[in-house]
Amino acid sequence: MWTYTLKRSLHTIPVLIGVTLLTFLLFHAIPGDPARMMLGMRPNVATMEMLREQWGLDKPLHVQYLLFMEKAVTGDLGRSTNDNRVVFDTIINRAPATGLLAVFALIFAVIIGIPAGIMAAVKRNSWVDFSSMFVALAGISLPIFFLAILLGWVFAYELRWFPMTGYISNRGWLAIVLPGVALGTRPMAIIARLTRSSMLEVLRKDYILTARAKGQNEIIVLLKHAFRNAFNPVFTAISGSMAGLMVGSFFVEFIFGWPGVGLLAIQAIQTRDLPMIQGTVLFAALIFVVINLLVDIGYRLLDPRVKL
Amino acid sequence: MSILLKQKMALVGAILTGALTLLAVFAPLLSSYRYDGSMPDSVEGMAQTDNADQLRQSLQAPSGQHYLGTDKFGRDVFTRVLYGGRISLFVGFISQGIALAIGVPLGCLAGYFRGKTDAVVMWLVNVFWSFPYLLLVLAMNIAMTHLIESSIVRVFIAVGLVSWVLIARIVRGQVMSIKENAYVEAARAFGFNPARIIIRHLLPNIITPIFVVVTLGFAEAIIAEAALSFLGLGVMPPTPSWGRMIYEGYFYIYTDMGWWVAVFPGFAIMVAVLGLNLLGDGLRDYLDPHLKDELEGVR
Repeated sequence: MWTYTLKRSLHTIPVLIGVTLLTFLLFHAIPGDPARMMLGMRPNVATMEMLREQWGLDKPLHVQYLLFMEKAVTGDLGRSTNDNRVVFDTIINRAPATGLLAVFALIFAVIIGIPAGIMAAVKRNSWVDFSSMFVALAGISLPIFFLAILLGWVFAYELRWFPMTGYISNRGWLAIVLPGVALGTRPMAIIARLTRSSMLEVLRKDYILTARAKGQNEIIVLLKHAFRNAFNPVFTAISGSMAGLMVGSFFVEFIFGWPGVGLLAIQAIQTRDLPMIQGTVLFAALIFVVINLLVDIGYRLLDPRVKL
Repeated sequence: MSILLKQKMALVGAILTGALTLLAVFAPLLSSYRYDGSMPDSVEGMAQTDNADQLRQSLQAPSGQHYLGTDKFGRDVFTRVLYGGRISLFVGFISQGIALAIGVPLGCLAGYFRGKTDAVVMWLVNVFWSFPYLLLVLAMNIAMTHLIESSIVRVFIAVGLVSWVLIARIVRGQVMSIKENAYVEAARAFGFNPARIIIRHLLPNIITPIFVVVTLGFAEAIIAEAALSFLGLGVMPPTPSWGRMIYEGYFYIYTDMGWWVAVFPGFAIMVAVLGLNLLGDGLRDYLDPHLKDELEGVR
């Protein structure tokens, strides 16, 4: 187990180098002159020179990358070009709100998605199956910002069950429901679909027939015999959808005014605040890499047959 | 075609996708309004309407005259949804074209030669894979702001440069398994060069899986374009785009002035993406259970 964990962790090193390199290229090399890009169409020459020197833009590209990395590993991602906030600190301050939202969304996705998938598989080709699978497909097909708008319209504006915008600190826990559901719908749909197909496969197996033949309680057959064996692909789906949560939260936080990293990122994009955009992109990618690492290790714990 | 008849899901998907494509292509025949003005197209020289006229036409509910109502500028929403479909189609086709042009060769090289080539390609794939899809599209788009003047071209390229990853992965896997077949061995024994073997013997056998991936990628591209436009990074007004229409219209939902401005383009996206997903999923289920594992659960 420890060997696996160590090996798998070492595997992330080339990926991490690639991720930082790509981010560096996107924000430093491709834009032509980043100083110019940051300052807009009519830059002040003196400011531009100052920025160039500050970023070492006169040096060769690989040196620039090393400089960038040297700063990045110490948490120095520069300052916002809008309000001079320190990028790293701002992101860290916003991270808990996004994390909370993601956890809520994931719990929602699992609580609804898995039972829906099991029901659909058990009642195959019934109206339960068709309707839950249709909802799942619609959930995958709706762009998340549109879903968020629809939820806000129906449940906050028309029915007034939940607040339209705000955070738990000023609006209470009801404020997390709509953004959480909006963010959790896509993973919920993916989990439901996968649980269904995985369950269908397992339910055909002989040991299910055996369990039923010996008069085992049907609930126990479904949960203990079938679902435990159908769970691995579902686990992959759950972990796979964590990636989507990160970007999904950008739009959801924007629509519902949820003060997380996503709202920060969208505001940075709208104001062309490059250091802040770069910081949030790097943050999201790093979180993603770490989650994937943890998921793979967790997967190994669940199923020791997994090879690296 | 016979696949479509056997797979009801794929058939429904094909019908939805086909119908939307036709609506977008024949938009000028289906609507007598201009997408950038409030007057019927037939009134020549009247494209620029005066303010009073605009106010009278502004934010009208759906009716026999305006099937899906009008927006703030008095423009016909139905017409704009039709024309918006054209943008989505363009983005889908061109971005997937770019993705194919990168993904197929890289996937073939990696799967055929293995070794160091494979290691490099897979490293690239893993790096791109480490970014959430939409995030990388956003970052690429922003990075190219000063490099490429036209915002719609930036959308094509950004989506294309991110979508190749899935194609390369699938092509690599397919090439690796097909390579083991006897006829490929035979071709190699004849001393044919790798390029010929790949193009003549391998590619024709993996066209269908590629088609499935491109169909699903097309759906992702439509969502990506909508997201970019929603953030103001897509096509420039007055050209209609579904994502931008949602952005411009959602204020009117919350002020009770007109839900139709944002809701109809939103449903247009849903139907388009649903159609493509049904088509892609249906074909995938029919084709290859193995491919299913590779595609399922991603993103």
